Amino acid sequence: MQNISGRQTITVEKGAPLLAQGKRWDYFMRYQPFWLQGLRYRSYALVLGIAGIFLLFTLPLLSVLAFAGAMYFYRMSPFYTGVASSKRRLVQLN
Amino acid sequence: MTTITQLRRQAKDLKFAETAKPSPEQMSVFMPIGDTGEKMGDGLPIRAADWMSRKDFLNSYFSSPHTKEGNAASVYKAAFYFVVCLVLTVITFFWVNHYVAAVFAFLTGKYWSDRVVNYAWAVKWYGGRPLIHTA
Repeated sequence: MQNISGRQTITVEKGAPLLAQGKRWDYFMRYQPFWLQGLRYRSYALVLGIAGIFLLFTLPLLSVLAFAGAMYFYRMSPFYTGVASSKRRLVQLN
Repeated sequence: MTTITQLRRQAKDLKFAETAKPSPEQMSVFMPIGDTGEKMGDGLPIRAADWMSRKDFLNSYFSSPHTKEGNAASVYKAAFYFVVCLVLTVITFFWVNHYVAAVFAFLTGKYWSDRVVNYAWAVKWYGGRPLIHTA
């Protein structure tokens, strides 16, 4: 588009900022629930897997449920740990 | 064909030319990245930007080899040791020996002070410092 000044006019929306500054404790408290939830899910998977092995010889029907739960928590844990252990970069001013 | 006098005049003009100063938006800022280990005259390290990932940042808060490391995990660890030592103090005082109880009483106070110092250092002071992160 040419306006009267003879220059091209482009209107753009202002984008989101690339970097933001906050407190270290606030950033920690923002992402530590993901970390803890991932650890919780991993431990649930381990406990349910062990319970499934024990129930296999006593209550096979329950052991199936236990193994299903173990696999569920094992597959879901990276969705939490992955947020916490991201490669996103930070800058600390020492 | 440029003569030597013309070249000299050009060089002189370049030397005294008014160079266009960049605006503050165009100016770059020197930011030292990482820690070179160099110290200032007063013994403090040279201020630098520590460039790290979110994983390393959370790790630095969680993993502590001992309670003097000073992070959030060491607060909980010191509090846990405090409770254990307090219980052992009571048990040894009544059922073992009050000299042994004195040792556990000392450790109880040590871990209580560890908890307080680590909270003040890692949570209040360190946590209150600025952090630049992706929005």
